[in-house]
Amino acid sequence: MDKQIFIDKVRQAQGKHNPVPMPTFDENDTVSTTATRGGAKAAFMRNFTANHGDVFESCDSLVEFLKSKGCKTGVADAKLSDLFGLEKHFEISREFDRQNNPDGYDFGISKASFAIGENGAIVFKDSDTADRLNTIAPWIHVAVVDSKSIVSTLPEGLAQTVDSPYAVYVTGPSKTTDVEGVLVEGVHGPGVQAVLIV
Amino acid sequence: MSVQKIDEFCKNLDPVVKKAVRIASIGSTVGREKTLLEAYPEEGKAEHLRELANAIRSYNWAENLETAVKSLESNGVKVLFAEDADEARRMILDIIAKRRAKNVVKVKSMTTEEIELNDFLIKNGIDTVETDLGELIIQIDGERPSHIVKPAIHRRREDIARSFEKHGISAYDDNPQHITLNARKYLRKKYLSADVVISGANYVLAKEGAIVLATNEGNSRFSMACSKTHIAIAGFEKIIPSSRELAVFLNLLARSATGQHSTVYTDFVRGPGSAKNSPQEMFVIFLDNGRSRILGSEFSDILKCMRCGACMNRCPVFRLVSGHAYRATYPGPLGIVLSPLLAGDDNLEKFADLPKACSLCGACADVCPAKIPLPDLVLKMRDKIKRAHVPVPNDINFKAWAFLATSPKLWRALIPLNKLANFLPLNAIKIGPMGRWLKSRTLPKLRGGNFRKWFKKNG
Repeated sequence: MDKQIFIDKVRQAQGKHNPVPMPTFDENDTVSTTATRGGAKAAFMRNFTANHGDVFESCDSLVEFLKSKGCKTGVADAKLSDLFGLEKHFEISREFDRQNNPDGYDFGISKASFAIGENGAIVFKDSDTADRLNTIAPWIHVAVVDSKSIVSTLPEGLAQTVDSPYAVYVTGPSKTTDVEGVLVEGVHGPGVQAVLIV
Repeated sequence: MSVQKIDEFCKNLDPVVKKAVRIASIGSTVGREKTLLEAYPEEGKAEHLRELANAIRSYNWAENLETAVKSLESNGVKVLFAEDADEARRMILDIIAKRRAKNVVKVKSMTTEEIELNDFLIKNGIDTVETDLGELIIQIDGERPSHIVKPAIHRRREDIARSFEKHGISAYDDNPQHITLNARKYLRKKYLSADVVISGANYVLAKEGAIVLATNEGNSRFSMACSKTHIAIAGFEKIIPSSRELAVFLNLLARSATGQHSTVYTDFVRGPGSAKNSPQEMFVIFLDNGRSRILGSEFSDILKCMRCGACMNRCPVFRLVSGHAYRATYPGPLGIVLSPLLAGDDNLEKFADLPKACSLCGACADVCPAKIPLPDLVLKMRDKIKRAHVPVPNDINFKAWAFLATSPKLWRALIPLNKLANFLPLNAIKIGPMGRWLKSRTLPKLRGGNFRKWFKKNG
């Protein structure tokens, strides 16, 4: 259907109603005081953990965690410049081999663009990620979050989200309750979603 | 008197399914209350958000659409317009065929259910796979979703495992954890070989020219990592002005739908990706399919629906009869209003009985995140159907009563006669609906009919 005809049909239909003024609202109208309490970082850690995400503040504890999960191999996103010594403990590829080895990585590690306290979300923008598959295909995924990049509220987060071709909020492991309402983690994406705060 | 289809469906419903639907619906309703209260303990704050969600979409539909088209196009998205389901389906097939693509992965979308896309693509030789677990479960058995958020709410683990075995997805295993893992393995191959991803859109941001998708499973991100072409289809009512308003909706959507504070994944797609594995081109198809007609009618409020399912979760009728009883894409209170509208005035008869599957208790309006006055719309739909003189099964004939009630003299003359009812042998009626009704009830003695006399004397 022609674009103009389509839009005109909508305009004509809308004209049958009295115009309603656009409501004005303050950003704080939407912000949850309980979800944001304690500051950006504390709120992020609390809300991310509530969604079964794992939070690490030191590389040693992360290495120990990955070892306890039986990890031997990993894939690190090409845009992640520092591997935090993980390469000493695991065999790490710098490129996701989609063709030959899509299930061959015990864990993936990538740089998060920033994080949000209110909804406990880590944010991956295409501009900071070399390959989307690193974040979604391995069973364990680690996001490296710069503690200075954590914002407190969702409106603050939204204001710096939609400037890349693609961005995604991730608040924990991939999950479903589609079979008789039973919660199962690790549907398509990670069954373990961890964060390393640096 | 014929039995209503919805009653018949309920009568034949497997008791286990009935119980499952009831538990899941109540669970979501309770979760909604809990999470909204946790997030907004302040008096009236959640209410204010709902008012905003309603008001934001009362405004500037055409202007938002124009802005969205412009922004999307400047982001490198090809924007198309479909008048109806048929045109939308043909557009999508055309895009796929031109790329000689054979494998399509789908991200759960009620709009694609509405236009019955899957069957059409499969008939045309395209391997089309639903990636949401619930949608996959019903797709392989050729079913419709029975709930807009939990499509397989009516299925038991044993028959899911049997279906997986029958369709070669995995050997029989009815542990929910294993069913999910088997689907993970099966779908991974589908993702990696997919040429095209088709999604809906939870929201479209006009100013930024972005579509927003909310999922828990991450199938959106996986599909959009592997495919070369992304096609998103959305009714024009999904457009909101900008990401600023999105905060209102994101804070309501997951809490209202499943009682989560937020979904696990929220994707913001502005066009072709720039990462290594990402779509090289993106299409957005805006769908009318009766929406402009609805916008111009007294039912325009229904277009503010954000498809969270809170109304059906809360509905006492839905909890009893389950989604398939409503015989259409959208069940529950939403479906009662939307199904006859989408079917159009020529097909009103098809859903004419639905508005009667409602006790007007008002619970749906209490929980709707967009404050859609659903009971009012149900009443308006009853009125519309009545005026269209469409035959409705099990309709009680009120003609005689209407004649009496509009003839004051006759009415007055007959009033004293109501005491005659005391002499009717009501208990002798043993059969039919009246018999069933009277089996457990005794009528009090009628003593009325004297008010006018009393009023004349004392009034």
